[in-house]
Amino acid sequence: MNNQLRTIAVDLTPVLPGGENGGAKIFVLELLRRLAEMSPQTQFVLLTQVASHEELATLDRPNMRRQMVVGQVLANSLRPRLLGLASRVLPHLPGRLRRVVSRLGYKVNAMLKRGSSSALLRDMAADLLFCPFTAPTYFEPGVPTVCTIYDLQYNTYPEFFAAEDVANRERTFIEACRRATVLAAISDYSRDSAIAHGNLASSRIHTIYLRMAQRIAPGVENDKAILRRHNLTPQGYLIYPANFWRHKNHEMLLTAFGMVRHQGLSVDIKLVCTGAPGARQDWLISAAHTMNLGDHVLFPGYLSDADLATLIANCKGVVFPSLYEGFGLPVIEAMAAGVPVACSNTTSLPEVAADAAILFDPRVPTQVAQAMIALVENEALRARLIQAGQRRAAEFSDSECMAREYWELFQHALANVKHENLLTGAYADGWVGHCLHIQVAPAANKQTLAIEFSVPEWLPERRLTMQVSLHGNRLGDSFVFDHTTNAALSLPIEPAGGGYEVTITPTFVPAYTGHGNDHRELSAILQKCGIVHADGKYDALFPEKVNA
Amino acid sequence: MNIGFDISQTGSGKAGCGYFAHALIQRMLELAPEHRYSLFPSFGDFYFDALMPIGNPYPGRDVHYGPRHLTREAARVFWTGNNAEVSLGLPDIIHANNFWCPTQLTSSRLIYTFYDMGFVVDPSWTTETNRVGCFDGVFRSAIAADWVVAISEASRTHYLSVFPHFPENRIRVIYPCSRFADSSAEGRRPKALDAVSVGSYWLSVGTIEPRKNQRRLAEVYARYLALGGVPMPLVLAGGEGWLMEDFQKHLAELGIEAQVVMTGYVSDEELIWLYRNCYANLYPSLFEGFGLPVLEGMQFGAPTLTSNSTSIPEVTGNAAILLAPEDIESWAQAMLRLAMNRNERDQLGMAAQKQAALFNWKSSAAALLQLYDEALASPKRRVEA
Repeated sequence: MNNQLRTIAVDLTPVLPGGENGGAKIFVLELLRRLAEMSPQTQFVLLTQVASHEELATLDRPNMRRQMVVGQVLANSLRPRLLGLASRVLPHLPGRLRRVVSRLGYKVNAMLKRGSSSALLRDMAADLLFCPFTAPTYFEPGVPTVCTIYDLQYNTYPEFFAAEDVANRERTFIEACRRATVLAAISDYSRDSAIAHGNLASSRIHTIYLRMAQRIAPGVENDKAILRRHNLTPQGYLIYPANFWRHKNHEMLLTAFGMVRHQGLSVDIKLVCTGAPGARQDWLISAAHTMNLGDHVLFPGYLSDADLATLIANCKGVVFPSLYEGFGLPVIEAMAAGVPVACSNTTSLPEVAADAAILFDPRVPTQVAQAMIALVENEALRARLIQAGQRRAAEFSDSECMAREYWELFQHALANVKHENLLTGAYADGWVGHCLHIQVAPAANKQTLAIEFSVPEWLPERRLTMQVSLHGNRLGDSFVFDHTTNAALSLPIEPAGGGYEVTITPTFVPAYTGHGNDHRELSAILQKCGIVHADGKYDALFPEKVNA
Repeated sequence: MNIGFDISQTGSGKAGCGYFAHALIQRMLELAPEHRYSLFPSFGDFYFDALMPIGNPYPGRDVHYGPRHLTREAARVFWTGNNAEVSLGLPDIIHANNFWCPTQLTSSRLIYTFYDMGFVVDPSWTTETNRVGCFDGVFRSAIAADWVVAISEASRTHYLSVFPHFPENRIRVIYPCSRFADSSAEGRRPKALDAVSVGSYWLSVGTIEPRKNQRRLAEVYARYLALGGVPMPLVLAGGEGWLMEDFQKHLAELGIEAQVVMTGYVSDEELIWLYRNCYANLYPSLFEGFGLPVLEGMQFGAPTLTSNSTSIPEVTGNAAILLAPEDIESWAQAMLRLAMNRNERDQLGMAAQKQAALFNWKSSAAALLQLYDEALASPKRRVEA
């Protein structure tokens, strides 16, 4: 294997404790275990946050360690307070303004997460940054970066998200498209959506399927306590394994089931809807009750993997009427369990299920109802689906293969790291921490780096010292300035480009010096930064050109 | 009685749903001014019109207007909150007219106007955003509404087939009626019709969109011409909808582009003129909740050829030629026959006017007030646990 990938940083800061991340977390943990097994010579550094740092200890092994980068202080201070404020104020703003505010919020949030550690990857000598939850928060110029894209549901169904959520997801997607050397998509459907929406070159995004069909295995074969607890008999029920998110389309399923029961079935069949309890579940329970389906629809609540696997292994069939999936893992898991499946004919599902499921339009209740009846009554079809399903699941079962595909993608990123002008270390509002990183791409001719700072009069330390270095070597003398001096700098750069660093001392934290609640470590305010080319063309790095 | 009534879609540029609420509230205020009316300029967060009038557009003895929300988000917070009913002064009736449906009312009787569910027959007939909002609203009505007002028997039957649990005795048909009060109006000739002689054009009214079936109508017309039909032009009156970008190309392929006049959007005055002066009105729609363009055409004496499916036969009675909307040959043959038979055509026109007169807003408003009385006299359908 390639020994250039000595250290890989993996951003696990989006991991939340428990099941809140849904299927993505399960996939990421499995992938990391496989990668660690496969590449014992590579050090994996998992960047974590305080809430899930301990939980992720299950990943510790000789070549995989955790490093907490979002800690207690931050968790208790500015960020949650900002988010709290945002959640109180935002609902009262019109949608368009909410999106603008949220876009700013995303940047502040991302910068706060990074804190002052603008050289995190360089300090740990990371050869690659892997962002399995999409957002390239810890991106540093010159470090190849790989992001995984799950879906663009926020773009297809914005009505299922709060306006600020749409803005955050959009921002995350755009940042990933911009920063990542290469991207992985979990299906061709997601890849095509990303190419279309992000205007991506198709060579920059590769489909790597989720291959982990055997994730959930039934508990001890005879342990059917979960069935008894809910008064279920084997083969006596259909099941929809899905959280009660809007796009999962439970209302349509209940409607179709009401039609099925009204038409009459040859056997008495129940419907089980698994998913975490909450307001949506309460509503659906109450709806089922009003629809006279109370005795026939079961809501068992949150289930352990073993209980869920037992329920799936013993069901008559899985019905999956989701309006949107990036992949649709439960479909493959049901097939692996030898259970016939009926699922939607939209988004990634036809690609994943192929001809091994009954496909229906999840927007047409008569079609969903017919599929449920066929799933229960058509024995010949059931037998064919079970067989075809097992073959299909086999194609999605090799998580080593999935890890290999990621490893190849990492190698590909390493070989294709982009050379372009980039700036990190400045907050969206212009404040700079102790250090500004500027990567300058090679150019045909000489170029000049132009930087301009301003300093408010109220700084605790009136005089600031600035030092420029290239790849760690000081360039010239340090430069002292204050609020009366114009801190503009013009630096000639060789055609080869390189990684420049501007350090400014001293720094201060406004909250500690009586300037409000701002806990950031700050030095001066960046007014402007850009590269002036020999032909006079100006490439602005700050303020950024705003993407619409 | 304290009647809360959703008028959120009655702002300028109102379409069918908005007109239903607009006409009913006007007639109810005339028929029963003794009630207290609370008119809601916003209702839920699905349909939201930021440009609703500042003051009450329907004055009356005891008519109140509000709350008027500035943003969709504010409307959502109010209408999904548990305090909505109390802040409104616990109306006896809350009548939803815009597809959205509250689920938290514990005291007011919730009346829900159900227009149609074409979107569960063929989801491509509308946008996905609209489909999601409409299905969500209708589903919620099947859970939470005390009474449903269906705009046709066909709509009522469809509702009960999708929601068989809903009590049949709590869903009642109240027909919409024409938007035009004066059946003797002459209207105004549209510019696009300058070159067309009065009384000798086929008319078809409606937005150009898949559900209205104009592609097939074009094929019918081409077939009619090919069979030697009288060469009267076909006038399509209505704006361009969705998924029909290649409609012009379709006409060209059929070789009939020169004979088809597309007027684009027409004003009500122009519409009246078109109905009044056509040889016949062709309306082969695949799905309707009611079929207002059929009724309005008949009101102005337009001889009518239309679909024999969904709600349309309820509108036409025996006063129109009814045909399967997919059956191109039947349509072409019926047009050939009618074109040759001026007498039958004139008979149809007179019968149409008589049939249209059966629908009037006053009866519909009276039926609605009667329904409110019954709703108030019977318990709420569902008691929240």
